[in-house]
Amino acid sequence: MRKNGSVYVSIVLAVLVGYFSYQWWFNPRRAIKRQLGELAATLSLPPEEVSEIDRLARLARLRHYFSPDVQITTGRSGASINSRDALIGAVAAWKAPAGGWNVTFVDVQIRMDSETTASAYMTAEITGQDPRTGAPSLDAREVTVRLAKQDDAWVVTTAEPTETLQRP
Amino acid sequence: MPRLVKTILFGSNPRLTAIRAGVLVVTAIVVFGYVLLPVRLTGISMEPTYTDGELNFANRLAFSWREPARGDVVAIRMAGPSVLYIKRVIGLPGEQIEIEMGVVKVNGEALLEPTVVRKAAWNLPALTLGPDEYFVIGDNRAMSMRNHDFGRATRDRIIGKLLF
Repeated sequence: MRKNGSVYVSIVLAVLVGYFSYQWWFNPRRAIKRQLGELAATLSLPPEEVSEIDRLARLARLRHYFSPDVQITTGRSGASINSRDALIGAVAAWKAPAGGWNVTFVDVQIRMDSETTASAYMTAEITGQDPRTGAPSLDAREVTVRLAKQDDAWVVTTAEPTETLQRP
Repeated sequence: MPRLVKTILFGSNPRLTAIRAGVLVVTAIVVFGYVLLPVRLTGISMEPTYTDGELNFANRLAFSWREPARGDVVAIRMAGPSVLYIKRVIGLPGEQIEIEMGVVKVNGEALLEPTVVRKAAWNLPALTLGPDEYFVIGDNRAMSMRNHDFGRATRDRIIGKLLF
């Protein structure tokens, strides 16, 4: 009886370990969420980023998250960025406000479109400091991102904002 | 452990204390997870009714038995409930909304807005709301229209009504 009990417990433990290992390492949704989390961290501008080397290293890391022909639509005007190089150029031109800013993706919902393509729908939250008053500021936008698996890594192929409140 | 400390920590009847603590935890999880969503307001778009940094709760059951009404201050979700817009409903499904020199007109008639203190000269051409759409806007109309997020919100995005 006791021996059987130990066997059952071992089986349950093995199943649990297998399940969590799969979720952590192999589940593509988990991998995409992890990738998006890293992208958000790379897009954040730390207040202490003072050296040019830090800045260039951060820009270089950005290449890993986008496909070379990435299409990004920005804002209500519908202006777009049509390549990874143009995107990195645009990010390089951002002027960091005092205190930097922090980017996070929240409420991320992943849909697998195929084994190598996926869509992510989320809220991009940017927190920082108001340059005039110094008070904490928050900006948030809904974003739909499409990703593709290239060279065993998930990269962003398109990104476009969704208007929560539609205005004429 | 001294008896006094034991009594303070676990009460005179530890089993009953454990049951009380369990009920309290479950109640808190249900209330704050599914009924009252804690909200911290950021920004000035709802001033003077609500100020930057204020704490409040969105009652998620408020629209279970009735639809949002004009004047309700509602929580509107983005991709999920982590980031919300807090706005006032001024237009209901099917209505025509227009802003002329800061005056909101519903179906051509000026709307009385006691919560709006100052009005800048905002202009918005007339639009008709769809059968599932509400027009929401902040109370601070003294600010620039360009910096103020407002517009049509579909019913499924309105997740609750502010409690206070």
